[in-house]
Amino acid sequence: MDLSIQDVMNDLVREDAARMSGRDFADARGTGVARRVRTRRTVRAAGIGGGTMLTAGALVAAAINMPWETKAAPGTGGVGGGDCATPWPSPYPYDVQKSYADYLPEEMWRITLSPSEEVVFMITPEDVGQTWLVTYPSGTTEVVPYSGAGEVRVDAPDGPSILLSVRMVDGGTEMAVTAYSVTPGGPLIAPIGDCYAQGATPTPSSGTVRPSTDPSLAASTEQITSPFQCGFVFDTQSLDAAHLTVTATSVMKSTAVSSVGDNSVDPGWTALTAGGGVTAVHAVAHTSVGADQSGAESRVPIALGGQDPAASTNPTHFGNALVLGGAFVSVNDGVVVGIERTAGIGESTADVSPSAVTSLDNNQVAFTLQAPVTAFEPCPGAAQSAVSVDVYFVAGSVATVAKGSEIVAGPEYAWSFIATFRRDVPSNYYPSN
Amino acid sequence: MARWEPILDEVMRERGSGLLAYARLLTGNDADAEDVLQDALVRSFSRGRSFTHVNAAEAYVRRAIPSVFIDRLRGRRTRDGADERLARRQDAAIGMGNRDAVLDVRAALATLPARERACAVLRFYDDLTVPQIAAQLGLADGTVKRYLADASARLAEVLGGGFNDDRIPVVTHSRKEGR
Repeated sequence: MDLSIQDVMNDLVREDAARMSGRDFADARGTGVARRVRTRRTVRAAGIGGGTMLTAGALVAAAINMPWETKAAPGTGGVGGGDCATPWPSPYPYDVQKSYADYLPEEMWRITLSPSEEVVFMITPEDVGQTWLVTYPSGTTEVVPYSGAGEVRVDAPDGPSILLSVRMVDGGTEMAVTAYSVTPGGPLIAPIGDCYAQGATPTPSSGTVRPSTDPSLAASTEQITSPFQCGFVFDTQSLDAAHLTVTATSVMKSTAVSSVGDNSVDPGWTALTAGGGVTAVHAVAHTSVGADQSGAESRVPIALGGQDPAASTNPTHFGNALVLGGAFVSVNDGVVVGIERTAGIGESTADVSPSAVTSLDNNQVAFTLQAPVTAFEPCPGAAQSAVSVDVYFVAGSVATVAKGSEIVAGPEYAWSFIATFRRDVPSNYYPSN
Repeated sequence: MARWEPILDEVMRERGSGLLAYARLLTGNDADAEDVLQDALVRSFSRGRSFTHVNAAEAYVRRAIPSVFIDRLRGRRTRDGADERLARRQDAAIGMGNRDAVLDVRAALATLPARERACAVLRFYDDLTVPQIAAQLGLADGTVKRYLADASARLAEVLGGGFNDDRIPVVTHSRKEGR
């Protein structure tokens, strides 16, 4: 009997379709898919690809992975998967790696230059555009649209200027980088090196059950285990965990603030309040690694804005990381009744309260949210106070590993009450408490 | 709830089994098929399109599946060997008890490297031309031709008998047994 292979393939698909359940798939994966779509649409609406600054809340997810892990020694290449194959001459040490995350940016090419300057090439969703995220030693960041020329000049305040010429090859599998030294006001000097990096291997999907922060989910009480979730009940106004503490909270109005105790100003706060006349809530979380956590010395610190690090669909994509997430929530009678609102489809980011995330060092991250009275999206069915909004800062941390499917430590949660804001006053009202 | 969310939910619940089966044709195992479908859904619904009907959405997702499959391969070269072995084991297990012809093709597909399998599925199942396959997978025409030639040769070797690009004589087990 001769059969068309197309007929047989049709039979094959029919048999598998009868065996596989879309409903089971929707139940198991639907929440994660919807969350990823929502995030991508929000970022599109916020216009990351347009080179806007990292101020709107929807952009906070782009400010991840700062600071970076230990740099490679000069001329020795990077560490981990995806290293350069071509040595890079001194005095410019390099490290080019590809990494994956389950949230934006889903793929990143990271180029580290010299002991202090970092440049990140982020591959954002196809139609959003591609951007560079330049991180300077001060911790400030600059988002630069990726042009067709594929070049970005890094003018570090205290170091040599570098022009990076980048081209993706082999359908994006490899990135070819040519670095040029740039003399101040002068021409390009000959290339100082080429570097080809191949993508690292993403880790497989994880089956670990994690709490959800999706407000569209009507989570039952027993499922609410994270202060990032609607319905979570705060037993106390503040709580620190063994390796996670909220070290500072404040309400500010057009006043720069020192977050680290050495009078340096949180650049996230500075950016948010540049226009003056606004109120914002601010908090700093500090995480540490327990002595009982193996592999701790090589963990990459990662900061997440507005997200519970334990709720990521696939935290193993972080690799060997110490992930710290922070968010502000609105609370009524000790229960979370609102979470930070992001711009949905068709919405303008002008309607979303700007926020910022700033890594202060390897262990401290500062979070800022502007106009807290109007910053929150009500939880479905939650009882809102018509009079006031209690704002809490919540933080979570997990340690993940490069391989395997487990969060190896955590999640740990900490939180702190910040202030009560009345609804009948302007959003830039500065409370007395 | 945003306008796209009910459509997304409907695609997953009502069309998910067919899409999973299509993805499985490419991946060779259920777990990877679910991963591929998940990424295809995200890609299709993230672009700001206003799907007005589940059919249109399903078509987009279905078209995205091979692209996602190939994109995932690009980032996971080192896992290919292990994945291929897993796919073959699972295909062999699931194939038991199925119709013989289906079993043959399933087993034959499992012998193909992933990129060849993707080209074969798009050519023989989706009935796409070489340029269409190249465009969909982001490959050069020549590369697609080479993959198809290699895939055809290997399928012929496994399934037996001569065939052209459009028809492969599938030798069922009953025929093998001389009935």
